[in-house]
Amino acid sequence: MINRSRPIRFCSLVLLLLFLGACNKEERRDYCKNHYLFHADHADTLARLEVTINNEGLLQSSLAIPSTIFGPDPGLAEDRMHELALLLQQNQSVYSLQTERDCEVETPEIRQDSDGLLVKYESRCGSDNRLRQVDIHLLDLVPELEEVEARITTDATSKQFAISRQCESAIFRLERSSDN
Amino acid sequence: MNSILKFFTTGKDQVRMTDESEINRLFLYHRRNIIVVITLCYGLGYVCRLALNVVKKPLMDAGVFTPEEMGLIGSMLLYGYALGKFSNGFLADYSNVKRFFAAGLIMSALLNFGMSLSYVVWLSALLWALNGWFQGFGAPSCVVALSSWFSNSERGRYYGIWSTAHSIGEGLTYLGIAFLIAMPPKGLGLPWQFGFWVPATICIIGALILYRYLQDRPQTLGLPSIAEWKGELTHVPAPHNAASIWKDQMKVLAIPTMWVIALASSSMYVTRYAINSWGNVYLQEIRGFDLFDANLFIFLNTAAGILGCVAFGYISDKLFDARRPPVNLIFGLMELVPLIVIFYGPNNSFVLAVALIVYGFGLSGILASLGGLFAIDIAPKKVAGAAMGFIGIFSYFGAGLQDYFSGKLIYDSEIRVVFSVGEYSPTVFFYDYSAPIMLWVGASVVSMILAASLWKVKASD
Repeated sequence: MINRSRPIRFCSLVLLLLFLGACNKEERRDYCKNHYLFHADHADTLARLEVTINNEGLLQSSLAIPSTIFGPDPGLAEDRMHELALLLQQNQSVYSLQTERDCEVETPEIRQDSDGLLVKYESRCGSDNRLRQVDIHLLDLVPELEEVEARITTDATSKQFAISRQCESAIFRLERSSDN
Repeated sequence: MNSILKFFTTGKDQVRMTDESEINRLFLYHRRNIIVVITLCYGLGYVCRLALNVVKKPLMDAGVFTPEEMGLIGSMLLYGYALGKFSNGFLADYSNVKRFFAAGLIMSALLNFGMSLSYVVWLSALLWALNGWFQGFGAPSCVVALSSWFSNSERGRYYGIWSTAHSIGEGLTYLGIAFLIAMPPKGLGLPWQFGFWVPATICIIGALILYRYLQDRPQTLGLPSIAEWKGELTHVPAPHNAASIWKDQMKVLAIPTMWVIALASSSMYVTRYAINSWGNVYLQEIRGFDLFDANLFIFLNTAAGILGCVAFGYISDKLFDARRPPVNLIFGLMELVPLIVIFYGPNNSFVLAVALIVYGFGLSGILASLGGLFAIDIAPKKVAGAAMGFIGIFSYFGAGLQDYFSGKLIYDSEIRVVFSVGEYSPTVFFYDYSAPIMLWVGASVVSMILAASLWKVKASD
């Protein structure tokens, strides 16, 4: 005898999964759309990345990672920061550049204290060496990091935004007040 | 094919009514409807033409198209429109404009809908070029309706009312559509596709209104001609001699001044469409305004344009005895100086708003002159249409080339910052507008010099 209820059950399960998937996606979208409402509340727990790129092909960046993201235990946090500092020291850069020719990369300057980790990078590409893309692997490199607030400045413009693991695109609105 | 042509061809003259009161009632009723619907629906149609400008930045941010591709797609509309304005002008003379205009809007709506589905550059370029061509159904249809239902003595006033449609359309687009796409709390934060769907819906509503309220020629309803009804029929019009008109039209091309005006107008259209197409993207990318505010700034310049058109005609007629060159120079400077302030002036919202208003005022004035009035002054009067067509083609091709080259120059400066975040790769784009800005400002300088070189040119009789 053919079990007629089987396909119905299967379809119901598929529909349920699709529905749950859609809800999850919708929830994420709402989180990203309304992020500005609570961004200020968790701003102290974010990594901050500042990058300056000028027309002479000089790229300078500074990255500040607070110790709080590594958990409440100061000892464990310090160990993890030390581990990360070593990783970054061993040329595991948080960014890579896509240019016509190779750039001159300075050794990163790393400082660690109880507040967190501060890393400074500098790359010289030259004015005739077109920079097309900067790939930033920070969130892949530091799995504890949920979000980074970035300010990137070129000779023409400056943009401030947040990158969150929950959101497909950058979040440009970071404050409640309707400023630009 | 024949039945399609028949559907769009103007109807046959009906047996003339004899009841004067009924004739008066129908004329009053239809004239009121016609001026309202051509103004409203031409404005609504504009939304389907400008939709891309509002969603340009969201499309670039989403990585759907690069600025160069956006420039190519945008330029195709202008080429399509240049050709459409020329060819459809001839077609509209033989058409039942209510069907012709409505069909243009429906096709434009469908093409906007198609744009929301296309992620392929050549397909979007094709759809947008066709949109330009179908957008070219509107103006000739409105002009035919105006000349069929409003007499010589009153046409100027009604033409003025109809001309406000541009601002209605630009207002609806730069404020209304921007409101849909802009992020909360200024907007609804809808996906960019709504920037095509809503205009498409608006154009379909416009087409339905046109189909219901616009009318073919009065004679097709059994009414007399407008000149007869208004008592302005002074002579029986001479039959058209196609061969002699063609000869006179060709004479337009032999007037060197006409070529200089065409080049001056073309250069001015470079700046005009640069601001309309890329202005809001520049304000978002470089000046850091959000989508809603950037479009609001662009709206200010288009709104000031209404006054600029009227002021140019009035000032040149009343204060300079209908001599256009001195007023061209005044309005040219009123356009160029604020343009320099917009791009190189202080980074202050109030200064920017004032500069955009003065720029819009100056630009519209000089456009009214270089884009038509000055050319009509110089051309033989019976081929004024050909003179307008000649200037129009040059102008829109200039605008189209600008759109492509601006996009290319912007794209050449692109720096992508790509974050790798597990399954996502959020990307932030950085552009430098220095090179396109030089093109836009330079085009205005060239236009002003060319216009000033015609200082001694006088109108022909």
